[in-house]
Amino acid sequence: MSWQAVAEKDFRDALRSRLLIVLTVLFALFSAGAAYVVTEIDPPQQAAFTGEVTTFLLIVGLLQATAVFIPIVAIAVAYRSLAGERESGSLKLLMSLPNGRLDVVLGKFVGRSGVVAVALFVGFAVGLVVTASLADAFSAPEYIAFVGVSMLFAFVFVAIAVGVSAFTASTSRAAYGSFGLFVVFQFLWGVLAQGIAYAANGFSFEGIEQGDTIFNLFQLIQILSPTTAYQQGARWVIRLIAEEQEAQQAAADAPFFIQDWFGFIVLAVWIVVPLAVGYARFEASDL
Amino acid sequence: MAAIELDGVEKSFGDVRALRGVDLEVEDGEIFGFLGPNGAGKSTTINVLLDFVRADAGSVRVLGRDAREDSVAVREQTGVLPEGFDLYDRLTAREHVAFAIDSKGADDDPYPLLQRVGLQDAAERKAGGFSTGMRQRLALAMALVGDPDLLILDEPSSGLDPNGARELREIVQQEADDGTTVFFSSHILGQVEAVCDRVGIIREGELVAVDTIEGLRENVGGGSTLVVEVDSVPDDAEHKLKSLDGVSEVAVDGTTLRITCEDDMKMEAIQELESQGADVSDFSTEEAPLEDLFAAYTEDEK
Repeated sequence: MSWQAVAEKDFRDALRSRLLIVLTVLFALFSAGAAYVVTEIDPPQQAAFTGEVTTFLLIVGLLQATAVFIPIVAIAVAYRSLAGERESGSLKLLMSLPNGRLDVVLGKFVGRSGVVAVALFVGFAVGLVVTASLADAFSAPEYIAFVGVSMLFAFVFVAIAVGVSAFTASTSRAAYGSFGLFVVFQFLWGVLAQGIAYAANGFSFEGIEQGDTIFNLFQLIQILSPTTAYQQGARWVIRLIAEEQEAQQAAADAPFFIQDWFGFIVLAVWIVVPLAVGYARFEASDL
Repeated sequence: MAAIELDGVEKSFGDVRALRGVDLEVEDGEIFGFLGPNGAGKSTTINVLLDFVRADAGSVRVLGRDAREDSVAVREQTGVLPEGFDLYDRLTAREHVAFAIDSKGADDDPYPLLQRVGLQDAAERKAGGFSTGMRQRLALAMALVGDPDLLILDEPSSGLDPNGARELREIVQQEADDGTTVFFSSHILGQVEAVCDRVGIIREGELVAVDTIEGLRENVGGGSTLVVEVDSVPDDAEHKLKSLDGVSEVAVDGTTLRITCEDDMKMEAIQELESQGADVSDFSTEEAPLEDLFAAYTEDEK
């Protein structure tokens, strides 16, 4: 298996791109700015209630923004990963060496994930400084857990972008495909879930109550979006660390997919499935 | 064992039949030139060998392995200089070779390989600033990693200056002396003549000839021209020579006669001239230009 060689090559190569520097700077500004906004300008409602901006509340506020920003960074870093090499012809060099097609797809995923991790790590480090100085009660473990789950979320979109990039031979189609999926997850998924619930309920919203089958279906579809799964997963982990009461409340007798940990299953699936689909198509195609 | 075995290989891209039943055997250790005009199917054949492209029909074996099922194993023992490739502009020459070493699991040192292709002074430079010739050299260095059993070079001379082309031939020869099989394609016969043991000529997806250069010449026939220098040309010489069996053409230019004939007629032609009273002061043989030979296979109805 030579995926390590591909990953290392790819990491070195992509790390030197100007785009990465731009994205890292943007992300650093973003995470510092978002931390500032959440603490100073527009604190979460609960903070107004308790009069204290805790790390937990800060992160919950940040989650809205990172859920949009992280996928953009991940896709920008990864959408050209395979289609770009195919377009330029460097894929011929790559495939002339004893790299299997699976090695190439996995190596690309790992390499680009590493690159995105560097960008996020720098950005979050800046955010950490701002957060620590602004939050009333700063908890490093909570923030670190938030960074960890955010990385996982970034890897999901790297997997999606690499999968799409393996699927098509053109970089423009790879870009449309990846950003298209992002838009679907981010903006259309909720509407879609509502639509399905609406249709399943005989084309009406009447009579849907919390806990019944159609409501559960609606919740299941919602959490199948990586964006929702990320937010849910992050909240769960941070609550666990913060040992807030809600963590216990969410458990009880709710169905498994309402359980907060289910978000992680969803994220894992969204890493595996796009890579598998992209690989299957890449494996079957003439280069 | 044959290094490359193609048996009834067919490949179409949409309506275009790129390969129409190619049978080809390249012996272990030989230098094989693969010739054909652009678009004849050279690159498709090479792409099939490397599993970049999958044949619609036929069997493809490289180094005794199935080119499709065992492609990674094939490429572990093969060095490739692909056609129309690109480098990683942000990586240095040394990093490119190091990547090839990592991919092949070889234990080479990048530097001697770079030295071999004449890039020792550019080792730490990024490939983005390389000329076409340097790119070609770097890809060749990557191909040489791990002492391959088979070298596949697709149009290796493109972008090389005459000096670079000569160095390339030397490297090919050295590798072949080590027992490496070399398979390389070109659209110019002159480039392969100097190094190839045998050549194959492909035309419109079909292999039209596989032979040594000499064999090709004999096949095409009327290949060589006898140039005879005499003190004076006898009046009837042109007519008399033409009447000889095996002489196809006679041209007189001052005291020089150019006689196109079969090889075994050369002595007879000279004797005929002398019997007519001409004093032959010098004679030589010119072989048909390679371009004519190539054209005979790729253009005319053979």
